[in-house]
Amino acid sequence: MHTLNRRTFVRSGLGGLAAALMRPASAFATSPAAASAKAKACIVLFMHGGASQLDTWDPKPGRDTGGEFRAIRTALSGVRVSEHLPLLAKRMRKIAVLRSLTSREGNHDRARYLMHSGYPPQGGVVHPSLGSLVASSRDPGALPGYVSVAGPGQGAGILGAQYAPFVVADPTGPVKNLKLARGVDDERLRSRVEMWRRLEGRYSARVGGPEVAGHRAIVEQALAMMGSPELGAFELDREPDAIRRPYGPTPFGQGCLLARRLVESGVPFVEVSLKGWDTHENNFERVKKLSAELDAGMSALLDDLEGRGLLGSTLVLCVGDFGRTPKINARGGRDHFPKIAAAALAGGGIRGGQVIGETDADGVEIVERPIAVPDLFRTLAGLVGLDPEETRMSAAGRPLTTVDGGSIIDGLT
Amino acid sequence: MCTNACRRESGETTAAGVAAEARPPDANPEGEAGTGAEPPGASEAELSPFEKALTAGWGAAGVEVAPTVEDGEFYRRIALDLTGSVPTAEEAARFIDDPAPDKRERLVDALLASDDYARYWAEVYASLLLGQALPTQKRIRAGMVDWLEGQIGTGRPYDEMVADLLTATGEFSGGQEAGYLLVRGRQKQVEALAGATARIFLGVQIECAQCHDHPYYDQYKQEDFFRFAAYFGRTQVRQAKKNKKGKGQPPVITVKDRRRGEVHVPLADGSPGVVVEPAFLGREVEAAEGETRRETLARAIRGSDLLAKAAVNRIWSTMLGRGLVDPWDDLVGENDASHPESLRLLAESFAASGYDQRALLRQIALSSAYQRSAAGGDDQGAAARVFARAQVRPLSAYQLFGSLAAATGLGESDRPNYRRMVEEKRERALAQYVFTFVDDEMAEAESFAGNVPQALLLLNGELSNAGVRERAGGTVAAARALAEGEGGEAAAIEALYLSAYGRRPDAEETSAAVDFVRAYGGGEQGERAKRASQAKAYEDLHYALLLSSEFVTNH
Repeated sequence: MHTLNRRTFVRSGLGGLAAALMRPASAFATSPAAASAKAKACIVLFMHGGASQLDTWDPKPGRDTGGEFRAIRTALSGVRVSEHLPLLAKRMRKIAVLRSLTSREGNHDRARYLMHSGYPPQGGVVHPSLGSLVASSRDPGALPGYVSVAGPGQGAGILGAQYAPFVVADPTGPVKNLKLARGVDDERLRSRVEMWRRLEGRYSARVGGPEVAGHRAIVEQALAMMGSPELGAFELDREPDAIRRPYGPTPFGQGCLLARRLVESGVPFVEVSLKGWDTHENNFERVKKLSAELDAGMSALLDDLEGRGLLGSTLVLCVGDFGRTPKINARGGRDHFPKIAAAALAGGGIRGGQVIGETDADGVEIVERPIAVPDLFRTLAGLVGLDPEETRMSAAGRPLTTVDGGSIIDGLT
Repeated sequence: MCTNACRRESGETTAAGVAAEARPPDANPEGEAGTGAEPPGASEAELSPFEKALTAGWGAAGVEVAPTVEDGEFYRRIALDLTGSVPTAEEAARFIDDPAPDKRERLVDALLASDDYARYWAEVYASLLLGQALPTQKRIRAGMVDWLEGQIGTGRPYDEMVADLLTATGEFSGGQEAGYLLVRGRQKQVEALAGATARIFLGVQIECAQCHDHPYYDQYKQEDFFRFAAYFGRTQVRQAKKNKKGKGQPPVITVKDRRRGEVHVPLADGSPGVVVEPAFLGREVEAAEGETRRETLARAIRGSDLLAKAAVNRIWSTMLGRGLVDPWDDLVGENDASHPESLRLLAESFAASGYDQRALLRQIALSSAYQRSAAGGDDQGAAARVFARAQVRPLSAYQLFGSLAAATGLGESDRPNYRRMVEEKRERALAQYVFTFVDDEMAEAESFAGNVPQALLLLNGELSNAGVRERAGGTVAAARALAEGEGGEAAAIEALYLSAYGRRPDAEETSAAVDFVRAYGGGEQGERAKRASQAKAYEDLHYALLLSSEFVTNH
């Protein structure tokens, strides 16, 4: 496709490893919609296991279903949230809360699939996650387009492995295997890679298909990462203590900091997981602890993005598997409740300082503006510069649009 | 209410004749691509009903049927699927050169008789049954793997194995089969255990009816889910805090059934509603005298045709990359039933064989679908979808690490250090990249296969880099010795190709590799310098092979 000369020429400004390993120029380019997107980047804070909406964003103080937490005032008059989100309460003017997100998926795997892709699982096709869609719509950089911190994220499905999340298990640890092995220098690696590219070329012609294309692309991505200056984004130590501390000392908090650094380095989509919300037992003790992590991490993230002038171009979404039952069970827990969940959004094109949707006094029914998951995804797609009606072909020859129906959530943006 | 297939089909068909041998309709490795409904080179009369049903779709789908996979690639594929590792260069060469017409059958039988088969499938089953166990449950998983290895190695019928898992009662030192009830039913959640049981053993995702009537299948109401869960309502599973015999002893699990314990259908707000009696997917099953609820369930499961269907579809999916009905664990949903008839026939044959897993694996391995080549360019996957072409799939972490050990020639027992390193790296990679979700479904996601961290591990990790080093004494050292002999460079290159790909290079590949190797050793160098650069040349060639798509995928 492209000769070595061309590559060398293109990268002539760079020395050493980077020049030797530059991947062949790709045919991809940022789509016009992505170029004009309000949100250049998106950070999803994923509440793994399904956060209790009643003990976070939609408190019901004084009701049996409300549980033991108090509700506190926020910067937004008349709006209350759980007492364990005091920092976020102060930042409510930047945040839009959805209190009426509804779905039918009460199984973790299925719900997560839905919340990552906007589609319920269906046989025969694997839908791409939003992160993979965003990654595929942007120019490839030295760093992967979709990074998932402290959780697996969700795969790229029909888009191919090259858009699957780059998983960082521990945000404070170094990325593994970035340095050349003992006895291997730049020259040897260059020679090895040249041979490898030839082998791939032959195999692609003989067998081909998405797996092979995906493997080629991920090795090229790995090579592009090695020795790139953007890798500094992973070094949280470089951050002054005054910035680092407010995020909290937890993997989630530090993951939020890493998300900001990655976005600054050009990564368009970062997901940070906070695990442990599946509180069938001992809900209140656990939610209290988790809320403290969320409160610190998300608040610091919003402040930090704003301080750097990035909040306007970075969409932040906090969402989880599903909501939890209003009824508190015999083990002091709350069970799965897909009928009602809450989500919070800020930054990149979101009109903050509002609550959309309303539940009844006990949180058992939605009384105003139910929002289905495709509604949320149609709105998000517009913000991050994806065409919701763009059609892609699945391996089974079935056309898939970016978003499965739904309508834009009025007033959110 | 429940209109599942078990009632529709029970007693309707007999399995006689279906279990007949599955002979590849085309044993000719040079088979030409065909486009008809029949597999190439086969006459109608030789085909079993299963083969007929399977290949009938090929013509209708209008796809190009890939030729029969060549011997070397067949060996590589079946070794990965049955034992979790590629063959060594010598094994591959011996098989390719074997003139016997029945060598594929004999190979499959030999692999199925090996210890590696029982070990690998015990791992596959442990992941299915337990998900990826939490770090604290490592020993429970190890106990389960031990138990499974014994069951699979001795050829225990699958239906009996399932019954053991569901009806385990008493005290289990090391956990053994009771690990299933403990892990899937943790936090005393009968709902999670019920959902896992229906999905894993019956291919029914009834847990979607837990929160409301089933969103996609009309036949399951919320009550059906809780009636199914009621089979576990009286089961008590405990893990002792410590083994009485002292520290370092294996964990002990006790399981018993109480006389009481009821399951309620929750009301809209999640509070307990009416108490329900057990029922099997909406059908009443009368309890026999003295039977516990779990025993009744195990009996109902063994009597359902869904047991064989789910097992066959799962194993097919493991071997060919997608189920005859896909996904394998959603047999009654609205999904692509690309081959419902093939599934029915294969399931009947499995049941008729006495749920003999080896016989099933053998039948699949020798089927015309399994023996398609992966070559043939990209037609958007249409051919692979009807099993007219092999699907290219990433290796699992288990397969990748095992294959690196085999291909570098350092996995043999006389290299205990390297072998230990492989084990250690695999454990570490799995711990790092396999996420266990702390939730009630023990979901798992292996985010390792086909990902950038995996590419970095191959590029810069110790296994590939240390493995190809000539001084390590493995495949590269052997190849270097061949290069010095009369076969010269070509013989050395052949050995490297066989170890990585299980096949010999073609003329073009050999000539490209010879050029590559020669470019390293300039004639003007001294003898010692020349040797060193030749070592580097073969190391680098082998490294490139191990990094390539052909090595890191099953195809």
